[in-house]
Amino acid sequence: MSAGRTPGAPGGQEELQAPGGTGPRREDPVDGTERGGQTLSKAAALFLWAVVVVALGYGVVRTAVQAAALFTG
Amino acid sequence: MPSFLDRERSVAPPGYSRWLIPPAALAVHLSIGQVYAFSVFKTPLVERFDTSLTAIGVVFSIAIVMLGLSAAFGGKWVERNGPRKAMFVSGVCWAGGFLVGSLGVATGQLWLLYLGYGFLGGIGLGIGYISPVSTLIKWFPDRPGMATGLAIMGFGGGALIASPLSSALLDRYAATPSEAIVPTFLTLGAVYFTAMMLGAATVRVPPPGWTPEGGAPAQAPPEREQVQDGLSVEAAFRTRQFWLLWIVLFCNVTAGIGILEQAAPMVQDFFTGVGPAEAAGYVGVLSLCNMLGRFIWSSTSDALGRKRTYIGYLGLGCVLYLVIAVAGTSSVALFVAVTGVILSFYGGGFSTIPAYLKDLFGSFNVGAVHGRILTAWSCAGIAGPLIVNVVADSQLAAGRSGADLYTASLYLMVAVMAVGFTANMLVRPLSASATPTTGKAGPDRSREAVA
Repeated sequence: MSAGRTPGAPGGQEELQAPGGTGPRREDPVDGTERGGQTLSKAAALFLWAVVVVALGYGVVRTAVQAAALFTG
Repeated sequence: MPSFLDRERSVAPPGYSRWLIPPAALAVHLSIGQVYAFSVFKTPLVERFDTSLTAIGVVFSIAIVMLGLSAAFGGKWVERNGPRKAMFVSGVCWAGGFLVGSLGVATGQLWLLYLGYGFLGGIGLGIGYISPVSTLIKWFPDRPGMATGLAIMGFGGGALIASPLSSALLDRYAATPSEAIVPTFLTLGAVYFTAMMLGAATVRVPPPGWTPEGGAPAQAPPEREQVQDGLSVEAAFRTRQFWLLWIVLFCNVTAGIGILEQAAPMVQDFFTGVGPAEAAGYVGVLSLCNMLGRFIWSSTSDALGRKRTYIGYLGLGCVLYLVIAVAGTSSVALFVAVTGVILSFYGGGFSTIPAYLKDLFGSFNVGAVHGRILTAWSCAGIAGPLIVNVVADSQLAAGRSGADLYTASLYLMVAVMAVGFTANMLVRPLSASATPTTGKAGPDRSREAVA
């Protein structure tokens, strides 16, 4: 999966900075919450992928079965 | 509205995979694509309200008119507020439409059904249809055709899911379908609301200046976007190119929708051995081709170029309409194959147009420009079926029957496709003087993309 690049973020990842940009940020509850939110967002997106694939599969299979009547009926 | 819905709150963090965006778009388009399966409710609604098919057909017409109007006039609002707020509003309107509609059915008030599913739901359709387009184009500047094809494929696929699902719910909830409409509407509304809210929660816009790995030219930071990344919707609306593309879309949709609307009676008129069950299967095949064409042809346009792709839709389309007119009755397989390809071009025309607009006008206001051009769809939705039905009626009055009812309208469709083909051939990249607000989307870049 291509993550892409953001200016100032070589390799697609921006180094975590302390407020004011004075150095690497330490783990703190806010940071942890942000990361937790991002993980949740990614998990929700992956879940949504699964849902849309299953839903489309259901629709395609049902339609294909119905369409078979055109040639077998 | 909660600040969580603001554009600023939906900016993706660094390293966020762009492949997590398409399911949000698909969730919205698969939900609103239910509108193509509205016919499932026609007979039960006629029985419930004890009215005519025409009176129930008005519900669908209002929804489609509102789709066109809200896409045309809501485009700028969508661009300004971002995809998350737009998807949220779309979900509320679409699910609210089912809720108000079910109230109308429960109380026997047809006007509430018009107001709910037609008016409110139609606004949800228009806002939802355009909401993910510009976001996807910004995430996939290297493959805009594939990205918009993936989302708009959902609109075609929505009916494939909604049709069997609605039939199953109507059978399950009550002894007769007309008594099961209210719980079915409420269930569908709840399911679609959940799916669309999940889409709204997971959609993200790329951070300013984001580019894909190994990728395309950098996007301009927001404050410089207006002068760096394309035309405003008002400026695009005044160009010759916009109106040429409007004609291209109108012609492609007019020809395709004419067949789609008459598919079931048409195949039975062409082949006496085909009954209602087989005709329903044929409609299913066309829906499948419509959906697949949206993804396959739009993705192909990234390699082939948008103009060449439309040359294929309209040029090959002309030939295929001629084949049906001349040799359509020779075999069922040939008829199904040819009309299937035509419907795949019809779907492809819808999903390739946002990328064509992006090539010509840049990505700055592409969602709003796309909304404006969808008025061609509304007009074609009237013109296509009108051509086929009026010609068929006149042939019937002249004593003709079977495939002869459609021969004249098929030749007319060849002419319509030829007009679209000519309009597409006249599309040229914008000249420098016509791009007052552009930088990167100027002549050099668009010349390369349109070829």
